[in-house]
Amino acid sequence: MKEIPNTKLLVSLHHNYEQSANMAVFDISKKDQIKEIYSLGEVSGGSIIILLPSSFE
Amino acid sequence: MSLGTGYGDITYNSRRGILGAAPLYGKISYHLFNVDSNASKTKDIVKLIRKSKWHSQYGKHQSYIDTSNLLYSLEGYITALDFNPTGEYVATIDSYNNCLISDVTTANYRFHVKLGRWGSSDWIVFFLLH
Repeated sequence: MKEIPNTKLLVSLHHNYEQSANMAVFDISKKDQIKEIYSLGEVSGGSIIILLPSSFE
Repeated sequence: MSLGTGYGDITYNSRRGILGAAPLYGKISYHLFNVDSNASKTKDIVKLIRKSKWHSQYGKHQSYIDTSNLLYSLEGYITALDFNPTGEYVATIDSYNNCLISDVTTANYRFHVKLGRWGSSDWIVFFLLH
């Protein structure tokens, strides 16, 4: 969670490099009303595939 | 200015009001957003401008066998990204130590170098960005 300088916006990034990422931006200009103003939605991709020796038999 | 570090990096350039984040290895170098905190409509504050194309110069898919004779097939990932001060260029580095510079406006490739643990390559990148 990071602040965008000189704005009242916070960026939240949840990023699992093996699976997916999701980013959202929040407006914190009103103390009692934090509002999500943007969501990228889930971005899927990346993988680690483990192949057991039996896979080759 | 880099706002975050690690596997999920965020970078913001206040001069151009652009934000880069959320790369998708093999497909998207980074998502480029325009940030206008003064926009009258909420939906116009943050807008996705582009899913910047992947560049072939990044590290390729790798496989290796560990001491247990397990074969790992590993895709890499972008570990960090940052804009230069003017917001004209973006530098990305992947898990194979490939540092790549591309043009923010056109998304075109400009330069890349494989960084080692030691050496002068870091300075090449520094001078290009500043």
